[in-house]
Amino acid sequence: MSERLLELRGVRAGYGHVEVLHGIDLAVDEGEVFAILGANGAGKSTLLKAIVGLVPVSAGEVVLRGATLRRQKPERLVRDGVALVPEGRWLFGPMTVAENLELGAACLPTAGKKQACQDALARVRRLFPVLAERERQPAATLSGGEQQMLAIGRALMSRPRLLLLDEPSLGLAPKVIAEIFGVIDELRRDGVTIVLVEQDAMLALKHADRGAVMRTGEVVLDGTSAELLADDSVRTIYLGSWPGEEGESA
Amino acid sequence: MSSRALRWAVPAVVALLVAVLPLVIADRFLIKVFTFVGLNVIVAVGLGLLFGYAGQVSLGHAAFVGMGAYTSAYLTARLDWPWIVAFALSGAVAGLGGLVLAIPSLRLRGHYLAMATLGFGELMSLVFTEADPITGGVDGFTGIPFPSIMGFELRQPAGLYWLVWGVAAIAILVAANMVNFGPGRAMRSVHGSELGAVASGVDVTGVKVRVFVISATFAGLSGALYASVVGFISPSVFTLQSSVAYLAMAVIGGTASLAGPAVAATLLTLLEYTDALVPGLSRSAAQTIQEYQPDLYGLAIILVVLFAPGGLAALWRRRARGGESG
Repeated sequence: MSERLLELRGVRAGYGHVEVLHGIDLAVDEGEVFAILGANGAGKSTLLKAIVGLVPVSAGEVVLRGATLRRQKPERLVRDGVALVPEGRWLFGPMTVAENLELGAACLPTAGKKQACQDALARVRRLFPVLAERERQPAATLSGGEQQMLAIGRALMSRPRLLLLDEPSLGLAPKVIAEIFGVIDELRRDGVTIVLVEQDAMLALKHADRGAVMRTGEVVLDGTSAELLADDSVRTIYLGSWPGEEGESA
Repeated sequence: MSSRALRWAVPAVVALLVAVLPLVIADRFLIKVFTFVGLNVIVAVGLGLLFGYAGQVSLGHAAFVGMGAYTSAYLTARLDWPWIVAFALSGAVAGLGGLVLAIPSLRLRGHYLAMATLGFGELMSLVFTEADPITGGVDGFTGIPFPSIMGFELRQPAGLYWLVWGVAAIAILVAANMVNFGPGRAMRSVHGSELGAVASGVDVTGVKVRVFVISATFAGLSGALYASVVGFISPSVFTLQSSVAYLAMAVIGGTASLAGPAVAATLLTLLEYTDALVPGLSRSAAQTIQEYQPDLYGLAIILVVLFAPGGLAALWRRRARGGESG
């Protein structure tokens, strides 16, 4: 049986006095891909930011491997194996691809850091060969798809056990999306737990084990991907009608 | 010559020229002018780390220079402490001042941080004026001894010049060591995207505090040297106007560069002494330049921000890239 990796218990969070998340309960098991679905403004990205501490949690608790995270610094969480690939990527434009990747390894423990960094770099190069070709190029000069790959690659440099992906397909060409979701599948096979926020519900559920649907800061439904795909209300109300047969989105 | 070779050759030639300058210039005043250039280079390199790499604006760096100057002056002139100990403590006191300012202030960003440093600078200016028994108040602090290292007193302009530039060289090497390795990347990441830096596991607050302390320490060391070189200090030296001049050196010098602020510090300092440097320049013309110097600094900052946001360093990089592709 899989171990519980991440648990959110009644989490409330927001910006200033504006509460965006109104008591979220979620549980993510080790090694699974968990999709968070919902329309714009549902609070999906805020949820990821609340998990890593970029948005303060005003009530409830975020539990990682059984330990409650209290006022944990976001950078400390990266050291604890949680990496966020944010919407908008937050890359360092003037810095080269190699420098961006090296920064991702900044938090690795000093002992054995060089070897760990080389191993992580080799993995990123294998997953995204195009980044290896462009290592000396400033990040700002990459295409949108390559930037997304770099953002994921940078997160992988910290060797995370939990990867939080915010809208990885946003604004990308179908071919690039297929490549990125191929990497998500591979990471899952490697045992990386992934929480995936994605607008394209069909695509997300195709690659996820389980998922939850959010509406205005609340989880209104959760279950396995098959359950969510089969749920008529989910299909019509939250996910929209399918664009066609399976596979079209990818 | 390859760009890699140039990267080593240019600093080596510049270092050599700087080292032999007192041997080829007979004019003692000019040697003093270039000593002041060295003093400002130390501050500008520190501010270059803070502004050009970490993206933090300080309008209060003259206060750190002043803290170093008064610490050194008091310890050497009043307490007869060995110069080298007073010099090291001056850097430490300024660094401590940087730490005290950095911890609460670096939660602020942009204009708010600039305002906080400006307030600190004004506060320290008041302290320099009002703490009469220690600082000498508005009359200033007189009788500051020359630097003395292991019983050897440096009185001659050339000796003082080499001392100042020796410290400047060490400051540049320390800064270069920082920016070329992990800390430099962390600083640039904070400048590029704070959220991105946090998401990459960079301790953003720690980076900001460390670079602020280092920058303040450099300023303090420069102040200690200034006090020993000139022999007299007063609050009128460590004012907002001086802070703006230091910031101008960093802004005009440009981002992600140490050479840029050093070059800008050289140019802006020499601007003060155009009458000594330009033969035949009339006294009234030189006075006009000196009178409008703060305005020139302000104008230069505005022009750089508007037309060359990356400063001299970015212009140089653009030219180098053009050369490579052309």
